[in-house]
Amino acid sequence: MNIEQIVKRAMSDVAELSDCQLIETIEPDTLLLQSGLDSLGYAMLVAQLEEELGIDPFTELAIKVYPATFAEFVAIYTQGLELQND
Amino acid sequence: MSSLASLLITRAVTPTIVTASQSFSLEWLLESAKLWREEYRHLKNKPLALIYTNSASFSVGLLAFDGFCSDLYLCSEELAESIEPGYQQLSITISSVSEQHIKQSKRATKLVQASSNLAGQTHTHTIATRWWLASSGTSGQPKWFSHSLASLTLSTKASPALSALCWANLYQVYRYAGLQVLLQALTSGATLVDGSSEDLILNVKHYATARVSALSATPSMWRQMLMTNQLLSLPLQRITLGGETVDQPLLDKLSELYPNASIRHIYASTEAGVGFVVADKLAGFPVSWLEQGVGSAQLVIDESEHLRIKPSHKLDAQLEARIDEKGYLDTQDQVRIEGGRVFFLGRASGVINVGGNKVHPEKVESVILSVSGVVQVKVYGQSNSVLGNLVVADIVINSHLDWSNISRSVRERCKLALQRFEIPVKLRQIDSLVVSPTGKLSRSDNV
Repeated sequence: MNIEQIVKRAMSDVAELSDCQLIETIEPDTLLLQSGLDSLGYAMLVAQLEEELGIDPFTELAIKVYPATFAEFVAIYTQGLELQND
Repeated sequence: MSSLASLLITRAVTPTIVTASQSFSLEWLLESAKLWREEYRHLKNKPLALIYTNSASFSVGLLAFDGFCSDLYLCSEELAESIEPGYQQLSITISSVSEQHIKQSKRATKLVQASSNLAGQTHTHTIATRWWLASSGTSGQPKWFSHSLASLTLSTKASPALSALCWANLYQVYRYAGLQVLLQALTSGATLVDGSSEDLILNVKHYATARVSALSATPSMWRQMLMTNQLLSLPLQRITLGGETVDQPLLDKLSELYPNASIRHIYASTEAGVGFVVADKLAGFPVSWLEQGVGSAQLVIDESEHLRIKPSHKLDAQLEARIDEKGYLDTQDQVRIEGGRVFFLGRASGVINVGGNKVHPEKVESVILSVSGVVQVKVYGQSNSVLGNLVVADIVINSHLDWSNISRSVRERCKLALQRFEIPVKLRQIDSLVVSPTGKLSRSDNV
């Protein structure tokens, strides 16, 4: 699974656990705050991805741009994993 | 003795509260307050529960009844249920078009006259009203702490620069942090934008249209606003963070976006009715404050590494057990000194702060323990970069039972009995929990 797929799967897991309703299709330019997850959902998503991927880019990176879209969110994880492997 | 109305008049400030469609001047708020007080004159020297509807209406209530009623309980509909049944409850809603006409028909020159009338009345009738604010108790039941207008407005100032600000309030106005924003806006003669929805993107758009230049929110809310990608559309000059521990990366991000804004994080205790402001854009506070004090409060760290505060005003009598012989209150906030700064580590009591919402582990534990098959449970916070902390539960079950069935029951029970932010996001099955000789769970060895 690539990172995008991992994030999408984690989003649907978290949506179920946190009682959120994800929108039907998440596109790269879908705004995170309009994807159906609320702040609690995002907090859980970041925690779950930390367990799966071993990184939390929000604490480990000096984030240049806060992610607003799904693509930006995935990019931050991609960048975080690349830095970890360097 | 000063009431809120006379304080505004003495300071000669002219705050305005604006909604999407209306604007309420101080003159209008004072006139309206006068009418409400006349209608409810039997409440003189009596307690009143004032129920929040919106900032303009709430301000009218505060202006009308501070200095008039013996006690003001600041409530939501829900909090009002915990008030003494015999107390008068009042929910003021002002938003009609006719009232807007009243406002427009008045000329600014009449302000002095209206104000002096009210000042005259307040002078003869003013009593020292106790303001009551709720804090969530261990059992989840609200605990009420009394304050005075003087203590609540201690840190507020008025100046031409402050009166030019336009504030928005993301907090609940009937809670300590939200009330501080309202009182700051009113007593400095600033503009306050009323109304916020659940939808943060809509809020940010609304604030951009209203040209909001001063905003107070929890670190978690600021992180969410950064995620809207629209934060820069606000001409922010004053950024305030409070309600949760503030971390350096967030301060750095905000100061990079707004290099010229004043960025302040506030440490406040609802119980102590005291707060202090750190404005140097660094997390924690300078260790020198332990020597010099800050504002009118003195600070020390005790042998358990708890921060203790001694404010200049009298503390609520309910706190007596936590006040030492020198008058310092144990805030229950655990701190650590590092590199000339004092950093906050969390609550000694184990209370978990989830994005500004307080979760009492004992309450969650009692819900989980009510599920058959659960033998022991320990609830604690796990640090999280989005909301500060998330709730996690370690559970010991009867060894012959099936974990998947029990964990499902625990989730279902939690959903029924708890608020969303209180529900553990993770349930971990463990073999045993460490219990102290007194039979209590140890809260100091959290992961």
